Amino acid sequence: MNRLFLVGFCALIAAAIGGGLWVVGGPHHARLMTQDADRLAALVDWQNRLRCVDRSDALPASLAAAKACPDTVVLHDDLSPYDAITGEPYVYTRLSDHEFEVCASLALDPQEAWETGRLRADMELRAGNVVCLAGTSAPDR
Amino acid sequence: MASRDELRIFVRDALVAGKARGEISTVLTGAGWSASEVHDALNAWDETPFSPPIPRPVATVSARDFFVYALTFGLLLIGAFNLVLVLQALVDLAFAEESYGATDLIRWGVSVLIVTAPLYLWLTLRERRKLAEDPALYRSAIRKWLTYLALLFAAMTLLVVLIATVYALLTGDLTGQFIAKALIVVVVAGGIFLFYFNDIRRGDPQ
Repeated sequence: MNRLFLVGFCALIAAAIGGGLWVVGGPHHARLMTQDADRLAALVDWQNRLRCVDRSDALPASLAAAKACPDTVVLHDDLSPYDAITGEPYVYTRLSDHEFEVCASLALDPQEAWETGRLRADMELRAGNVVCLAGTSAPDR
Repeated sequence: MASRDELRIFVRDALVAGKARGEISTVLTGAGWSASEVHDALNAWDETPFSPPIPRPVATVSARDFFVYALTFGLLLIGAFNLVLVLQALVDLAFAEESYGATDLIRWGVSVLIVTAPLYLWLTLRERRKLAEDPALYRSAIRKWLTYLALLFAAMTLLVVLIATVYALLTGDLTGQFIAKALIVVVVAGGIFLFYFNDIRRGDPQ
């Protein structure tokens, strides 16, 4: 009788381990998810920095030209205009003098980034795993 | 005031002197010993008419038993908790479109299971083999205590699930997701209860 219980428990544990790994993916998948979370965090940081630009000034021509904003809390201290993994620049577009858009290419389907808690409702999902975040400079001033 | 050891020695001496058990019981009760103390003291000696009286086997306590059974019990507790955690997180993912943090929970739970499950299985099978070779090990007091502790935890868990189910029913939250998660706990806790219940019954044929 107890042998049956032991076999049953082994089967249940094997199912939990197998099912769990099948759902969450292996170590490589986890690494890609972490990298995507970092990219999304960088988008939020860039949005905060660009929203900080004074309304009387035009938005900078490039991310590299954007000045740090002392009042803004950033997720990355060493905010770079380049993707730390691929080395590709984040795609920054000036939609007008005061409106902008920053985009990043994720390694995985952006829907998976929900799991990391970094994908926000105001992020726009585009084809090719591209996620964009738009904004306006100095929106509260 | 006399200790239980002195009581034991007195009973032994009385039996050696050929006194009847009823007579010994009467004098001890008269001296202030309780009925259960007298019963235990007499029960420590076999009733076979042989002199000197034959001591009955008693529960044993050893540091080795404590290490093995406490480790096994700890692994069971941690493993069972994380097994439920992983299976419930999988249910959450099956029912919800997005479930923030579920993948991290699953990764952690799977890590715990990969370490604890084989170790628990190895310790349990090893102990069962030893018990089969030497049934005297069934008298380990620590084994008995920790087995009853496992039964207590399993029974308490089943009670809490039952209460939570009734509460969910009354609040209108008895969804398919809730039922699936409750069933997982019932299967795991119920399985552990029956496993150890069978085990203790085998060790206590009386």
